[in-house]
Amino acid sequence: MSTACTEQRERLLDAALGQQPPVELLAHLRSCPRCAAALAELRGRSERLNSLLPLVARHAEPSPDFRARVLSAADRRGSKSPLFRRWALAGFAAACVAVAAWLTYAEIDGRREARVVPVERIAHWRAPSDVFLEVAGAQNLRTIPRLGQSIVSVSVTQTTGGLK
Amino acid sequence: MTRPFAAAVSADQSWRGAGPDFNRLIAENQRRVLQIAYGVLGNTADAEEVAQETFLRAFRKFPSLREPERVKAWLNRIAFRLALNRQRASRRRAVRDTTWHGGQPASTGDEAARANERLLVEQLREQIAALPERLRDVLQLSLAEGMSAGEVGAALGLPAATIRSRLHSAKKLLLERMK
Repeated sequence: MSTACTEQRERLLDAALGQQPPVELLAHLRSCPRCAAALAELRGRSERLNSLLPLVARHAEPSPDFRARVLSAADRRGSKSPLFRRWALAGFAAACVAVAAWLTYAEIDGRREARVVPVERIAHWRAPSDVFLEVAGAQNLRTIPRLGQSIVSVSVTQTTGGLK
Repeated sequence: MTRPFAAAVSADQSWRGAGPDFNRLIAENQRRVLQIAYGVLGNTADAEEVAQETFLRAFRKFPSLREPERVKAWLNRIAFRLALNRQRASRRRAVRDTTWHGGQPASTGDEAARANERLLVEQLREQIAALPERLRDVLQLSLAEGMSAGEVGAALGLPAATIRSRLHSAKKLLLERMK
Protein backbone atom coordinates (compact mmCIF):
# COMPACT_ATOMS: atom_id res chain seq x y z
CA MET A 1 0.00 0.00 0.00
CA SER A 2 1.42 3.36 -1.07
CA THR A 3 1.52 6.53 1.02
CA ALA A 4 -1.29 7.96 -1.10
CA CYS A 5 -3.46 4.93 -0.26
CA THR A 6 -2.75 5.33 3.47
CA GLU A 7 -3.71 8.99 3.26
CA GLN A 8 -7.07 8.05 1.74
CA ARG A 9 -7.93 5.46 4.38
CA GLU A 10 -10.05 7.81 6.56
CA ARG A 11 -11.86 9.11 3.48
CA LEU A 12 -12.58 5.55 2.40
CA LEU A 13 -14.20 4.82 5.75
CA ASP A 14 -16.24 8.04 5.60
CA ALA A 15 -17.38 7.20 2.09
CA ALA A 16 -18.27 3.65 3.13
CA LEU A 17 -20.48 5.11 5.88
CA GLY A 18 -22.41 7.15 3.33
CA GLN A 19 -20.54 10.44 3.15
CA GLN A 20 -20.05 12.03 -0.23
CA PRO A 21 -16.49 11.09 -1.40
CA PRO A 22 -14.29 14.16 -1.81
CA VAL A 23 -12.71 15.01 -5.14
CA GLU A 24 -9.26 13.85 -3.97
CA LEU A 25 -10.60 10.40 -3.12
CA LEU A 26 -12.47 10.08 -6.41
CA ALA A 27 -9.29 10.98 -8.29
CA HIS A 28 -7.31 8.44 -6.27
CA LEU A 29 -9.91 5.72 -6.84
CA ARG A 30 -9.69 6.20 -10.59
CA SER A 31 -5.98 5.45 -10.51
CA CYS A 32 -5.94 2.83 -7.71
CA PRO A 33 -7.94 -0.36 -8.25
CA ARG A 34 -6.80 -1.63 -4.86
CA CYS A 35 -8.50 1.25 -3.00
CA ALA A 36 -11.56 0.97 -5.23
CA ALA A 37 -11.86 -2.67 -4.20
CA ALA A 38 -11.28 -1.72 -0.57
CA LEU A 39 -14.12 0.82 -0.78
CA ALA A 40 -16.47 -1.79 -2.20
CA GLU A 41 -15.52 -4.17 0.59
CA LEU A 42 -15.98 -1.47 3.25
CA ARG A 43 -19.41 -0.59 1.84
CA GLY A 44 -20.42 -4.24 2.22
CA ARG A 45 -19.21 -4.19 5.82
CA SER A 46 -21.06 -0.96 6.44
CA GLU A 47 -24.32 -2.49 5.21
CA ARG A 48 -23.78 -5.49 7.48
CA LEU A 49 -23.00 -3.19 10.40
CA ASN A 50 -26.14 -1.13 9.82
CA SER A 51 -28.27 -4.27 9.69
CA LEU A 52 -26.71 -5.74 12.85
CA LEU A 53 -26.61 -2.64 15.03
CA PRO A 54 -30.37 -2.45 15.58
CA LEU A 55 -30.35 -6.08 16.70
CA VAL A 56 -28.06 -5.22 19.60
CA ALA A 57 -31.00 -3.61 21.38
CA ARG A 58 -34.15 -3.40 19.35
CA HIS A 59 -35.30 -6.98 19.50
CA ALA A 60 -35.74 -6.57 23.26
CA GLU A 61 -39.41 -6.33 24.18
CA PRO A 62 -40.92 -5.84 27.63
CA SER A 63 -42.70 -8.90 28.94
CA PRO A 64 -46.52 -8.75 28.81
CA ASP A 65 -46.84 -8.27 32.58
CA PHE A 66 -44.09 -5.65 32.82
CA ARG A 67 -46.43 -2.71 33.34
CA ALA A 68 -48.49 -4.57 35.95
CA ARG A 69 -45.30 -5.42 37.86
CA VAL A 70 -44.12 -1.81 37.83
CA LEU A 71 -47.51 -0.59 39.02
CA SER A 72 -47.63 -3.20 41.73
CA ALA A 73 -44.11 -2.26 42.90
CA ALA A 74 -45.06 1.43 42.77
CA ASP A 75 -48.13 0.65 44.83
CA ARG A 76 -46.03 -1.11 47.46
CA ARG A 77 -43.55 1.75 47.63
CA GLY A 78 -46.31 4.33 47.44
CA SER A 79 -48.15 2.85 50.40
CA LYS A 80 -45.05 3.01 52.57
CA SER A 81 -43.55 6.30 51.66
CA PRO A 82 -46.34 8.81 52.50
CA LEU A 83 -46.24 8.08 56.25
CA PHE A 84 -42.49 8.53 56.40
CA ARG A 85 -42.71 11.55 54.15
CA ARG A 86 -45.43 13.05 56.34
CA TRP A 87 -43.33 12.62 59.47
CA ALA A 88 -40.24 13.98 57.76
CA LEU A 89 -42.19 16.96 56.50
CA ALA A 90 -43.71 17.57 59.95
CA GLY A 91 -40.24 17.47 61.53
CA PHE A 92 -38.83 19.78 58.93
CA ALA A 93 -41.74 22.20 59.31
CA ALA A 94 -41.35 22.21 63.11
CA ALA A 95 -37.63 22.92 62.77
CA CYS A 96 -38.37 25.75 60.33
CA VAL A 97 -40.93 27.28 62.69
CA ALA A 98 -38.49 27.05 65.63
CA VAL A 99 -35.69 28.69 63.64
CA ALA A 100 -38.02 31.40 62.36
CA ALA A 101 -39.30 32.09 65.89
CA TRP A 102 -35.78 32.30 67.28
CA LEU A 103 -34.68 34.63 64.50
CA THR A 104 -37.72 36.84 65.03
CA TYR A 105 -37.13 36.99 68.79
CA ALA A 106 -33.44 37.75 68.30
CA GLU A 107 -34.33 40.50 65.87
CA ILE A 108 -36.92 42.07 68.21
CA ASP A 109 -34.62 41.72 71.22
CA GLY A 110 -31.76 43.25 69.29
CA ARG A 111 -33.89 46.21 68.30
CA ARG A 112 -35.17 46.71 71.87
CA GLU A 113 -31.67 46.52 73.26
CA ALA A 114 -30.48 49.05 70.72
CA ARG A 115 -33.24 51.37 71.89
CA VAL A 116 -32.93 50.82 75.68
CA VAL A 117 -29.22 50.52 76.31
CA PRO A 118 -28.30 54.21 76.12
CA VAL A 119 -31.08 55.06 78.61
CA GLU A 120 -30.01 52.32 80.99
CA ARG A 121 -26.39 53.37 80.71
CA ILE A 122 -27.24 56.91 81.75
CA ALA A 123 -29.34 55.61 84.66
CA HIS A 124 -26.57 53.38 85.91
CA TRP A 125 -23.78 55.86 85.39
CA ARG A 126 -21.70 56.62 88.44
CA ALA A 127 -18.98 59.08 89.09
CA PRO A 128 -15.49 57.54 89.22
CA SER A 129 -15.14 58.50 92.89
CA ASP A 130 -18.27 56.52 93.81
CA VAL A 131 -16.92 53.57 91.99
CA PHE A 132 -13.63 53.91 93.82
CA LEU A 133 -15.40 53.91 97.21
CA GLU A 134 -17.14 50.66 96.30
CA VAL A 135 -13.86 48.77 96.12
CA ALA A 136 -12.50 46.51 98.85
CA GLY A 137 -10.60 49.27 100.62
CA ALA A 138 -13.66 51.48 101.04
CA GLN A 139 -14.16 50.46 104.66
CA ASN A 140 -10.61 51.53 105.54
CA LEU A 141 -11.15 54.88 103.90
CA ARG A 142 -14.23 55.36 106.03
CA THR A 143 -12.37 54.52 109.22
CA ILE A 144 -9.25 56.58 108.77
CA PRO A 145 -8.50 58.16 112.19
CA ARG A 146 -8.47 61.93 112.43
CA LEU A 147 -5.46 63.81 113.41
CA GLY A 148 -4.44 62.83 116.94
CA GLN A 149 -6.68 59.73 117.00
CA SER A 150 -5.47 56.15 117.05
CA ILE A 151 -6.83 53.74 114.48
CA VAL A 152 -7.78 51.42 117.34
CA SER A 153 -9.89 54.03 119.07
CA VAL A 154 -12.03 54.95 116.05
CA SER A 155 -15.54 53.61 116.61
CA VAL A 156 -17.64 52.25 113.87
CA THR A 157 -20.59 54.50 114.81
CA GLN A 158 -18.42 57.55 114.32
CA THR A 159 -17.69 56.81 110.70
CA THR A 160 -20.73 54.97 109.36
CA GLY A 161 -23.17 57.07 107.54
CA GLY A 162 -20.83 59.96 107.18
CA LEU A 163 -19.52 59.04 103.84
CA LYS A 164 -22.56 57.51 102.29
CA MET B 1 -58.31 4.26 53.54
CA THR B 2 -55.92 4.77 50.66
CA ARG B 3 -56.89 3.53 47.24
CA PRO B 4 -54.38 1.06 45.72
CA PHE B 5 -52.28 2.79 43.11
CA ALA B 6 -52.63 -0.05 40.60
CA ALA B 7 -56.41 0.18 40.90
CA ALA B 8 -56.32 3.92 40.41
CA VAL B 9 -54.23 3.77 37.27
CA SER B 10 -56.09 0.80 35.86
CA ALA B 11 -59.08 3.09 35.75
CA ASP B 12 -56.86 5.37 33.65
CA GLN B 13 -56.98 8.14 36.20
CA SER B 14 -54.20 10.53 37.03
CA TRP B 15 -52.49 9.69 40.26
CA ARG B 16 -53.41 12.30 42.87
CA GLY B 17 -54.46 14.46 39.98
CA ALA B 18 -50.86 15.47 39.29
CA GLY B 19 -49.37 15.64 35.78
CA PRO B 20 -49.74 13.05 33.04
CA ASP B 21 -51.06 9.63 33.83
CA PHE B 22 -48.37 7.34 35.17
CA ASN B 23 -49.92 4.30 33.57
CA ARG B 24 -49.72 5.98 30.19
CA LEU B 25 -46.17 7.07 30.94
CA ILE B 26 -45.12 3.43 31.30
CA ALA B 27 -47.05 2.34 28.22
CA GLU B 28 -45.49 5.01 26.03
CA ASN B 29 -41.91 4.59 27.22
CA GLN B 30 -41.43 1.01 28.39
CA ARG B 31 -40.16 -0.34 25.08
CA ARG B 32 -37.54 2.35 24.57
CA VAL B 33 -36.45 2.31 28.21
CA LEU B 34 -36.05 -1.47 28.10
CA GLN B 35 -34.06 -1.27 24.86
CA ILE B 36 -31.73 1.34 26.33
CA ALA B 37 -31.03 -0.96 29.26
CA TYR B 38 -30.76 -4.00 27.00
CA GLY B 39 -28.33 -2.21 24.70
CA VAL B 40 -25.95 -1.91 27.63
CA LEU B 41 -26.63 -5.15 29.50
CA GLY B 42 -27.55 -7.65 26.77
CA ASN B 43 -29.83 -9.54 29.12
CA THR B 44 -33.62 -9.18 29.21
CA ALA B 45 -34.04 -10.03 32.90
CA ASP B 46 -31.45 -7.46 33.95
CA ALA B 47 -32.82 -4.92 31.48
CA GLU B 48 -36.34 -5.37 32.84
CA GLU B 49 -35.12 -4.82 36.38
CA VAL B 50 -33.38 -1.63 35.31
CA ALA B 51 -36.48 -0.51 33.41
CA GLN B 52 -38.64 -1.21 36.45
CA GLU B 53 -36.32 0.76 38.72
CA THR B 54 -36.36 3.61 36.20
CA PHE B 55 -40.15 3.80 36.32
CA LEU B 56 -40.20 3.53 40.10
CA ARG B 57 -37.90 6.52 40.29
CA ALA B 58 -40.19 8.31 37.88
CA PHE B 59 -43.07 7.35 40.15
CA ARG B 60 -41.41 9.05 43.10
CA LYS B 61 -40.74 12.15 41.01
CA PHE B 62 -44.05 11.93 39.19
CA PRO B 63 -45.73 15.00 40.68
CA SER B 64 -42.81 17.18 39.56
CA LEU B 65 -42.42 15.61 36.09
CA ARG B 66 -44.89 17.50 33.97
CA GLU B 67 -43.44 18.28 30.54
CA PRO B 68 -43.64 15.17 28.32
CA GLU B 69 -40.43 15.90 26.42
CA ARG B 70 -38.45 16.42 29.59
CA VAL B 71 -39.96 13.28 31.08
CA LYS B 72 -38.78 11.28 28.09
CA ALA B 73 -35.25 12.68 28.32
CA TRP B 74 -35.26 12.11 32.07
CA LEU B 75 -36.34 8.48 31.66
CA ASN B 76 -33.70 7.86 28.97
CA ARG B 77 -30.97 9.31 31.13
CA ILE B 78 -31.96 7.42 34.26
CA ALA B 79 -32.35 4.12 32.40
CA PHE B 80 -28.94 4.49 30.78
CA ARG B 81 -27.19 5.40 34.03
CA LEU B 82 -28.84 2.61 35.97
CA ALA B 83 -27.87 0.14 33.26
CA LEU B 84 -24.26 1.34 33.28
CA ASN B 85 -24.15 1.13 37.08
CA ARG B 86 -25.53 -2.37 37.00
CA GLN B 87 -23.07 -3.42 34.35
CA ARG B 88 -20.13 -2.00 36.27
CA ALA B 89 -21.32 -3.55 39.52
CA SER B 90 -21.98 -7.06 38.36
CA ARG B 91 -20.05 -7.53 35.13
CA ARG B 92 -22.65 -10.01 34.01
CA ARG B 93 -21.99 -9.53 30.34
CA ALA B 94 -21.39 -13.23 29.94
CA VAL B 95 -24.99 -13.96 30.98
CA ARG B 96 -26.68 -12.89 27.80
CA ASP B 97 -29.85 -13.95 26.17
CA THR B 98 -29.71 -16.98 24.01
CA THR B 99 -33.40 -17.03 23.13
CA TRP B 100 -33.90 -14.40 20.49
CA HIS B 101 -37.18 -13.91 18.80
CA GLY B 102 -38.62 -16.70 20.90
CA GLY B 103 -42.07 -17.95 20.03
CA GLN B 104 -41.69 -17.59 16.28
CA PRO B 105 -41.91 -20.92 14.44
CA ALA B 106 -38.84 -21.53 12.33
CA SER B 107 -37.38 -24.17 10.09
CA THR B 108 -33.93 -25.66 10.57
CA GLY B 109 -32.49 -23.31 7.95
CA ASP B 110 -33.92 -20.31 9.78
CA GLU B 111 -32.50 -21.61 13.03
CA ALA B 112 -29.02 -21.80 11.50
CA ALA B 113 -29.33 -18.30 10.06
CA ARG B 114 -30.54 -16.99 13.42
CA ALA B 115 -27.70 -18.68 15.26
CA ASN B 116 -25.25 -17.08 12.86
CA GLU B 117 -26.91 -13.71 13.30
CA ARG B 118 -26.78 -14.11 17.08
CA LEU B 119 -23.08 -14.86 16.89
CA LEU B 120 -22.43 -11.78 14.75
CA VAL B 121 -24.41 -9.57 17.11
CA GLU B 122 -22.47 -10.94 20.07
CA GLN B 123 -19.21 -10.13 18.29
CA LEU B 124 -20.53 -6.68 17.54
CA ARG B 125 -21.50 -6.22 21.18
CA GLU B 126 -17.95 -7.07 22.18
CA GLN B 127 -16.63 -4.52 19.70
CA ILE B 128 -18.99 -1.89 21.07
CA ALA B 129 -17.85 -2.66 24.62
CA ALA B 130 -14.26 -2.06 23.51
CA LEU B 131 -15.02 1.42 22.11
CA PRO B 132 -13.83 4.52 23.99
CA GLU B 133 -16.45 5.49 26.58
CA ARG B 134 -17.50 8.76 24.95
CA LEU B 135 -18.26 6.94 21.68
CA ARG B 136 -19.75 3.86 23.33
CA ASP B 137 -22.26 5.88 25.38
CA VAL B 138 -23.54 7.64 22.31
CA LEU B 139 -23.79 4.46 20.25
CA GLN B 140 -25.51 2.43 22.96
CA LEU B 141 -28.14 5.10 23.53
CA SER B 142 -28.70 5.50 19.80
CA LEU B 143 -29.44 1.82 19.43
CA ALA B 144 -32.82 2.04 21.15
CA GLU B 145 -35.70 2.45 18.76
CA GLY B 146 -36.70 5.99 17.94
CA MET B 147 -33.75 7.66 19.63
CA SER B 148 -32.81 10.70 17.56
CA ALA B 149 -29.50 12.54 17.90
CA GLY B 150 -31.36 15.26 19.79
CA GLU B 151 -32.80 12.78 22.27
CA VAL B 152 -29.45 11.08 22.83
CA GLY B 153 -27.95 14.54 23.31
CA ALA B 154 -30.63 15.46 25.83
CA ALA B 155 -29.89 12.30 27.79
CA LEU B 156 -26.13 12.89 27.78
CA GLY B 157 -26.18 16.67 28.02
CA LEU B 158 -24.51 17.13 24.62
CA PRO B 159 -25.50 18.99 21.43
CA ALA B 160 -27.07 16.93 18.64
CA ALA B 161 -24.17 17.81 16.30
CA THR B 162 -21.69 16.28 18.76
CA ILE B 163 -23.83 13.16 18.97
CA ARG B 164 -23.89 12.79 15.18
CA SER B 165 -20.13 13.28 14.99
CA ARG B 166 -19.43 10.74 17.74
CA LEU B 167 -21.84 8.26 16.21
CA HIS B 168 -19.99 8.52 12.93
CA SER B 169 -16.64 8.06 14.69
CA ALA B 170 -17.98 5.03 16.56
CA LYS B 171 -19.18 3.43 13.34
CA LYS B 172 -15.85 4.13 11.68
CA LEU B 173 -14.02 2.32 14.44
CA LEU B 174 -16.43 -0.60 14.28
CA LEU B 175 -16.09 -0.75 10.53
CA GLU B 176 -12.31 -0.93 10.79
CA ARG B 177 -12.46 -3.67 13.40
CA MET B 178 -15.11 -5.77 11.64
CA LYS B 179 -13.84 -8.78 9.73
